Amino acid sequence: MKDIIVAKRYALSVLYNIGEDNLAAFIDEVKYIKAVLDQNTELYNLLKSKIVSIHDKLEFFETIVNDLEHKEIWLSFFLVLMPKQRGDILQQILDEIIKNAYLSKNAKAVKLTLAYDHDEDTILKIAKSIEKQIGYKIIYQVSIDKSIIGGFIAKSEDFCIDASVLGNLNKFVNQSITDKV
Amino acid sequence: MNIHPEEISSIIRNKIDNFKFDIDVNETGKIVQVGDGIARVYGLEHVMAGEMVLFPNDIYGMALNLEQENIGCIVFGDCKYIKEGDIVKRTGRILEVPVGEAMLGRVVDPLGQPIDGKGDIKTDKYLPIERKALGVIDRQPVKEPLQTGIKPIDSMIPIGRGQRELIIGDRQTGKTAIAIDTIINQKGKDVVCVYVAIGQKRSTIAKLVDTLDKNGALAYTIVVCASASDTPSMLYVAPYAGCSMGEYFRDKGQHALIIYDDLSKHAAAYREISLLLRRPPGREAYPGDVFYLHSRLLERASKLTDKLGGGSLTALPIIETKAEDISAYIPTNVISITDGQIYLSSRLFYSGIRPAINPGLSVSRVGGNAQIKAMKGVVGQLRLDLAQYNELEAFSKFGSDLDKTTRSQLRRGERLIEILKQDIYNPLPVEKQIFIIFMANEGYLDEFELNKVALIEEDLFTLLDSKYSEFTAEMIKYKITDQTKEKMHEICKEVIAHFN
Repeated sequence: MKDIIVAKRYALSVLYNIGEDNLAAFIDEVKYIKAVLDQNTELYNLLKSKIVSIHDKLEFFETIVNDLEHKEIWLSFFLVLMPKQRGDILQQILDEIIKNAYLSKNAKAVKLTLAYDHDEDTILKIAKSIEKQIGYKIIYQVSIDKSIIGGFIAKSEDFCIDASVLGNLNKFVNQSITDKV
Repeated sequence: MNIHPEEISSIIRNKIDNFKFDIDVNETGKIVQVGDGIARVYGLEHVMAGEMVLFPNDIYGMALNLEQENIGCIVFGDCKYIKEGDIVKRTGRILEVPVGEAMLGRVVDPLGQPIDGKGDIKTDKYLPIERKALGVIDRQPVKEPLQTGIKPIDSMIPIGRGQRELIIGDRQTGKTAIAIDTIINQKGKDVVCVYVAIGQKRSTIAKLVDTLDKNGALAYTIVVCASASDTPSMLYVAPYAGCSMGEYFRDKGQHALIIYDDLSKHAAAYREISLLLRRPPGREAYPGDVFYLHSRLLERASKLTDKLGGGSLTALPIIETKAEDISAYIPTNVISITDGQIYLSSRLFYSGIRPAINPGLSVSRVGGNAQIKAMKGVVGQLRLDLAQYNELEAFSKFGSDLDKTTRSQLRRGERLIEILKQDIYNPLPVEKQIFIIFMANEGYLDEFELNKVALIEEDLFTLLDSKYSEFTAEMIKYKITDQTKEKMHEICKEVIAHFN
């Protein structure tokens, strides 16, 4: 986990080289690379491997970024990363790039957990209320978890909003135990 | 016990009716590194210094180091239940401990949780462990005595309520015994005592609690226990927690006494934490703020103005020296912070002088104002006589022929030292102290062999208890007049008559 700090430094330096205008397109590319690595764990293991030569790794990586607009930046970044044996934190760097890119737009990525699927309007209302609470725009990803019974839980890397029925029931139980009768 | 289901149902229904559905908003961070009672957390950008943070499994911690990319926290619990990557929540609260009358007679850990198996502590009063010391306007000079019941202290190094008097000495010289005697002597004097054990063996603490209990002193005492097996974080917060517990009574206008046993181990625990937090080490590897560590703690001892209730918090910090070196870093720091020190010498201890107080190196800077007039009247030159005796004793070793004056001075000195000896856990009422010192100072003991002194003392106390209790009770209230002195001479002669 110490790598988060290192990953953040790499992410900031990558973002420094990307202009404001290209940021949206670049973030799409980051998401694309992340998805490729997530789906192809063997490929990611190769990139992390200390046995495979940098030249071979570069070839593998090139196949991923070949069609991307910022191919040159990606390859240069990869060449900086690999000799320093930092292949194992590539995923974390990509996460940090997304996080810091959002932050530069005063936004945060949020995992929004709901008990049931809701219509778009309701989700937008929830998102607005979260934005009001944290003072940032949110870019949310919705997931459904019936165990929370009702309400929602919004989790980001640096905050957690629990407005679920489950959370309140737990709070009620804790209060009942600790309160004097 | 009768259980009424309707009653329980109504309580639950009432609770449900009053429960408010609300949203929990927490700033969170991730643990980057954990171990040795320290955790590094990534995130928590808005955390305050000294704020409590919540780790998984309901383990609390405190943010100490706020750095650019992470924060350093101390963990108040077992680190094995926390792992890298775990979520840490801000609480927005500064560390607090329970305070109040319910704490009396209890043994608690530095977070105020009971560890004596006597059940929960029912109190709804809490105070933060770190509180700013009172300002000049809120204080008044030390003027009331805090009797320790120990002859050399109450006579030569008097302690006043609100004073900070250091007890310093090597290991096994009777430092804790003085503290315990002082606690025992507060029985019936409306002084609440707080004993903070820092880094001591649990068996030692158990023995101490037992001693307090047997002497009826536990009822007005709170024991805060951070034993040697606790984490350095617990040792670090223990004196601050104990101080807040004492301050509660002071702020209510009562008198409180707090003993920090000992601050050397506290400084060592803080050094451990600081080094693990990678703060730059200074002299003896202590961090740069080790002086502030103790000064902010001891500054909280005070005597409040009458407007604020006139309460007081007296602090007796203990420092353990190595090889009688009082010029080491921590001893000199604490000596300079406190209003005097009681120096215990291992040489005196092993030569049979117990309590092994060295009057030459001990001093009370403000206690003189608090000493009762009667004691002031009889003590007179006691300190000077002892100093002269010590010098003459060393000098007499070189020569065989001594003049009459020197011989009588040596004889008086020996007897003075003899009467200042006292058994452990046996504090003496001030009137008895005054009488025995008077007797020695006036030369009544000079004609007797040393082994008779203890017997004479015993006889005197028996006589005072049986025949002159009213006189002694009256005597300590005022300055000693010629008339009183005459009566005291009479009593002394009466005692001496038993031995001639």
